[in-house]
Amino acid sequence: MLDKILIPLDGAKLGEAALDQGRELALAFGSELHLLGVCGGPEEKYCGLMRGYLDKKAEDVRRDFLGKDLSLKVVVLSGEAAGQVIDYARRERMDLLVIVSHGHSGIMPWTMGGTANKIIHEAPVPVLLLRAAAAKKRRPGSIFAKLLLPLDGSAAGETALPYVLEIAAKLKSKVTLLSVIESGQRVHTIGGLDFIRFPEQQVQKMRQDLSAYLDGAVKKFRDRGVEARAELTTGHAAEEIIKRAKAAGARLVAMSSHGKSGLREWVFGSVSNKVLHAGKAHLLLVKPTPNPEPSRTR
Amino acid sequence: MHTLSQIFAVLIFFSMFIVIILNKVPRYIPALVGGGLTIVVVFLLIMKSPAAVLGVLNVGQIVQPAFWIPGHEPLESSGVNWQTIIFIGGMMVMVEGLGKVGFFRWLCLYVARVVKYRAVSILVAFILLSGFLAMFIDSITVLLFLATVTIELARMLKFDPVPVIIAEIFASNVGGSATMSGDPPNIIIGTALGYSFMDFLKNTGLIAWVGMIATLVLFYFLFRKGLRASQKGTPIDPSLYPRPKEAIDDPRLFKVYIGVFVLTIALLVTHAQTGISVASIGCIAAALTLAFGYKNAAHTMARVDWRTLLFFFGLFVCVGGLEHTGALKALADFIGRVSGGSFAIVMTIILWVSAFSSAIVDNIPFAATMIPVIRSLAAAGMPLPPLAWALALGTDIGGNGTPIGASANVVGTAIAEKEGYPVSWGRFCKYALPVMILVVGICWILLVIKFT
Repeated sequence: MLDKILIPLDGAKLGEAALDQGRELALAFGSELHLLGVCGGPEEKYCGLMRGYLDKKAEDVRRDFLGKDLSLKVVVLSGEAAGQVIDYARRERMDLLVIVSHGHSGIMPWTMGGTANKIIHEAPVPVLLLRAAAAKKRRPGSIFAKLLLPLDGSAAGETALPYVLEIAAKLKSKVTLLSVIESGQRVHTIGGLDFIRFPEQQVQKMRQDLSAYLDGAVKKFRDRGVEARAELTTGHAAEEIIKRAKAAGARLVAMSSHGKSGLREWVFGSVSNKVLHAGKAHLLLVKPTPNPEPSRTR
Repeated sequence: MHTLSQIFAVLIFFSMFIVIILNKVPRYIPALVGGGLTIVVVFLLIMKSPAAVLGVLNVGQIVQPAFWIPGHEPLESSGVNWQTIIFIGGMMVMVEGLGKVGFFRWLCLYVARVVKYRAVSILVAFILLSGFLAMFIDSITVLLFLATVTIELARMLKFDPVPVIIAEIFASNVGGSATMSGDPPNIIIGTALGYSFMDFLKNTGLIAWVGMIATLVLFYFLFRKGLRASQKGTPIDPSLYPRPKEAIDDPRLFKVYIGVFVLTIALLVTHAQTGISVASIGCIAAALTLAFGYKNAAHTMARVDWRTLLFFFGLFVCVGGLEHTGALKALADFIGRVSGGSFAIVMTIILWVSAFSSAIVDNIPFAATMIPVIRSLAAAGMPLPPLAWALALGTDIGGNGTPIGASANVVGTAIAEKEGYPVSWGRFCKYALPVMILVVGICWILLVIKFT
């Protein structure tokens, strides 16, 4: 599943947190690691420096793999950073891209508002986004020890599930599967309705459907020997995801980058944007497969 | 010459409206803040008129017998329209009860079963059902249930639900324009100007149902082929689909609440004869719902959308500020001048400006603002009823033009999108805008024939 892992580095110390997590996954999955640096434009002079830096990091990784099979590639490209990373991931058919949200002090600093943000939104492969603030603390233990997997009951919303299942099975993670029942929906008009409250009967049906759906999902994990539990809560989806991640002690939240409400809602809309920008946990974002069924629970 | 009070009333109104449009806080908050500022700044600080505050709050009206008791002439109202607030609040309670016992879901599933689950028949039946229900209950509730059941059936019967939902939205707005209780602008117009349910039915009702038939025919020919093609090859086995009975939670309460609903409709239809005010009818509907469902009364009350009622209150105070300071009379004078004093032109302007404005801006604040304007035009010698019908038809049907034009549109498209069927502005407007222009055109011709 994770045969090829891409770790783009910008030279920042903080960005190197991606190496720790990439290495952990590569060890578990026997993956091929690609360390990618991009230089270009006015920073062309840094290309040599970048190559040296990546070679050094590759050595460090090889040292950690002593005695184990490791396929590692170092690549330096020139051009616009985000575009090069995205193109490389597509061209080389990467299975995962690991990136840190901020890299302030690097050779080619990436920020959440620029390169990293573009990669998160446009990368054609799953992205493991590591929070700079959390990465800085370097807490002991694996970020994969406790995982939170929000599911909305749709097929499109469960694209992160197979990844979490594999990771949890290999790394012995504890998984919390979370579904949030929303009692209504915010809407935008000019001077009119601003919130639609769903009928009570409909909310009850959602609760029944989601409960049955979560039970089925938990069973998939338990069948693989993974410790998993389900949580069904009411409220605003993004706020609940952030709150429950903290409560469950989950350092990684795995989400489909597309839910029931379509790409716009999850990637650019309120749910994923809020989790992306207001959340503290690291994120595994998985894009949906084309034309999924609109919903399974209803 | 604009007075200071006019300038501040206009500034407060537009500031409130901009904050509502920005949608950062629930709309009742800017409406209440705007209402509070109107009272303090315009009435108390500038006009130094506590009497104007009492006038706009209109509390005195509630204690008058004519507000409640049968046998009195309906009261006209300016400022806070308590008849509207109390009636809508009461209907919210009744509709909440009906929804809880499964009435709307049962009705939708029952109609689908009657038409044997054929997509094209569902289109026609749901258009008629949407139009009929919207005559008596709010279009938000109509679409909440119809759109949900449409999507549920579409998944099972393999047809595209979006055309059906667009048609349901359109029908609910057209149907809502037919009666006084159909759409919030109508209840505001009716209670503010003293018209009855039957006044609406005889005027907007007839015109709206001509528009409804045109709507039905147009949507039938627009969507017929696509729906047939998408359902082709899908076997129809009624035993596989949800049975209407499954929607009913409490069969006894279900029957009782249908009785309450029928009684409420009967009271509305006859309120001009009985003299029972619409506020009283709202209270009767709510009281019966709560009394029969006393076990869940507290829960039902908690689910009432108090925010919308507070929004109405704040909005009425802000518009009252515009009215009391004469700002809206200035607008009426302007319309009178532009029309050259011609009644037909004024009616045409009211209808078409209302229609196109309501396609973008929500029709409730628009109608609330325009009522004092048409009242001023009537004071200048124009006949009031046709202007009221033009305003009602324009605001109700004009809301069909875009996905944000009316509450029904927002609810229908939001449910479709939530369930994985996004409705783009382009797709919605492609069907709805030309049909809206055509139906408003039909209304215009009928208004001109009838009143000029």
